[in-house]
Amino acid sequence: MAEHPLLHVQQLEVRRRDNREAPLVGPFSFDIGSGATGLVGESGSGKSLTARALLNLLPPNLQAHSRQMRFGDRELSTLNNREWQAVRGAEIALVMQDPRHALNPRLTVGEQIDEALRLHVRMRTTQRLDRVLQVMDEVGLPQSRQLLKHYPHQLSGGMGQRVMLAIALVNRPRLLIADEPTSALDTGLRNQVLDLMMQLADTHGMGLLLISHNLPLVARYCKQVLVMYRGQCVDRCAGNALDQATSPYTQALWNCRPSGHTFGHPLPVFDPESIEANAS
Amino acid sequence: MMAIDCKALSADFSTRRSGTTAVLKSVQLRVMTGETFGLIGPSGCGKSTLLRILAGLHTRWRGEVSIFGQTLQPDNYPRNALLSTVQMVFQDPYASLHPRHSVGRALLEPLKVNNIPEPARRLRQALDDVGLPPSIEQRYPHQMSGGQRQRVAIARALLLRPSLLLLDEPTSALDVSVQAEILNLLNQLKARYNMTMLLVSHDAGVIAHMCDRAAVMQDGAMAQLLLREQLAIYGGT
Ligand SMILES: Nc1ncnc2c1ncn2[C@@H]1O[C@H](COP(=O)(O)OP(=O)(O)OP(=O)(O)O)[C@@H](O)[C@H]1O
Ligand SMILES: Nc1ncnc2c1ncn2[C@@H]1O[C@H](COP(=O)(O)OP(=O)(O)OP(=O)(O)O)[C@@H](O)[C@H]1O
Ligand SMILES: [Mg+2]
Ligand SMILES: [Mg+2]
Repeated sequence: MAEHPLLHVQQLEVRRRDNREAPLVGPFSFDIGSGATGLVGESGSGKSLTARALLNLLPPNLQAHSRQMRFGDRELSTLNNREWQAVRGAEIALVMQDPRHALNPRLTVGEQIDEALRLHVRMRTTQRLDRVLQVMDEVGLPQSRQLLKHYPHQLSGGMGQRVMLAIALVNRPRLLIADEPTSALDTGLRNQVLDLMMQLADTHGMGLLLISHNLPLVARYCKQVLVMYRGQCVDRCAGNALDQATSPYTQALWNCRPSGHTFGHPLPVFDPESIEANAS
Repeated sequence: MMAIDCKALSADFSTRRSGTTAVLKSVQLRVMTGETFGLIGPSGCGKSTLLRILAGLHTRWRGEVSIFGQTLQPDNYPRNALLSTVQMVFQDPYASLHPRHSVGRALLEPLKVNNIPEPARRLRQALDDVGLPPSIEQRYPHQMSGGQRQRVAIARALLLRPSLLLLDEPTSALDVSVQAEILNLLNQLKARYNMTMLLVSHDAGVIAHMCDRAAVMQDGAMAQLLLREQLAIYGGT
């Protein structure tokens, strides 16, 4: 990792306000540098809550606490709401899981991308339209001029996901947090979208936190991978070392993938006791 | 008997601004009873639309469609005959869950409507089947992770022991270990209750692991049929 990571997080915890006992996430410390960092792990282990905590976007019944959360030379944990609004969507952008739920059903695709742009920059209407069309092309949305006028319910699952991505990328953020950004895309589009994110990461020095269940994909694109299980980070390794992981949970994740060879046989599943035995 | 039989099925959407666009173009599809049939194809090619027609959720179509010998009409879905027979798991789990209903309520309702005995026990069994703890009953959709929501949606679809399951990307929101558990569960239940499954997935591994046959869709039409021998090597490793 570079001497100056883009984001430095120390002892992040997420708790329920009504239950101060066990945290849902953490304590969790990590750095995000340039290039892609993968966040993988069990469903319900706290990946999305971690992502939301980094943007101060937790649901009202939850609360985050951290010893330090440094972004560039800014300390994020002490920002007030107004300061957060300037950072969120402009410098750090989030693509949420469940795209159609996150989009506003009453606004067209064009209006929603434009809104994200207008909130943070001053440009003329025609310039903004050009920028909106450009970012739609980048994320592989077809016939962008027509699609501008569509409402979220008129989109297929994969189109909804790309609209979310366009909203996140329209301001060229320094850090993109992408929560399952390609789970509804076919392989061709998935690679196109990831290549775009990697290219932005390279040319603009954008950092990328990629939350995904697709381990081969994470292995291919991510320098560093963090593995979560029940709110804890149980393993961290280089992306290209995922297939040789020694942690039992990471191993299990790698080995229980279905394929043509497993047809007709039950897939291996993870036995939680193996990790508890390993931890104690 | 044929589980699904579609002939010359066409469908379109019309919007005020861009007029009418054809989404399905004379689709042929035959799925045998007891088969797991895969649907593959690029984003926007019409997979979800086809499933929604079969579930009676999209009514603008032409052609001939029947499910287990029951003929469907665009404006008349044989609900009484098919209501508990056909269940769908949606691509977006939010779509199948009411935002203000707790998990317990969402799962009890179909049991009560259908007068299933011992609903509370069946509910607990269904949650256990998909690997969720009983305490999840009190949660609302927004208080769960994406994978937990999807598992609730799957539990709900399985609750009435359907004969035909329409699965739209059922495991794309799940981690691979939970995915493995759900795929194993689907195969077990399929064997036990002789279910037929129509499965949409972008994951070549999932299709190759699950399906007896699969069709590749392209721009609203069936482009290619893949048999087991081809599926065995589909998607490489
Ligand atoms: N608003 C909330 N109130 C209480 N618990 C919550 C709330 N939101 C999430 N949780 C719980 O916190 C845990 C972590 O959730 P999170 O959404 O971060 O999981 P995840 O790792 O993103 O999982 P997935 O891969 O399934 O999306 C889960 O057990 C979830 O049920
Ligand atoms: N309510 C609607 N109004 C207008 N057009 C629609 C509507 N719903 C879907 N469409 C269009 O129909 C086409 C097919 O959509 P469908 O959701 O069936 O695709 P899909 O194959 O499921 O794609 P994905 O893999 O991205 O989910 C898309 O071009 C979509 O924009
Ligand atoms: Mg999540
Ligand atoms: Mg779809």
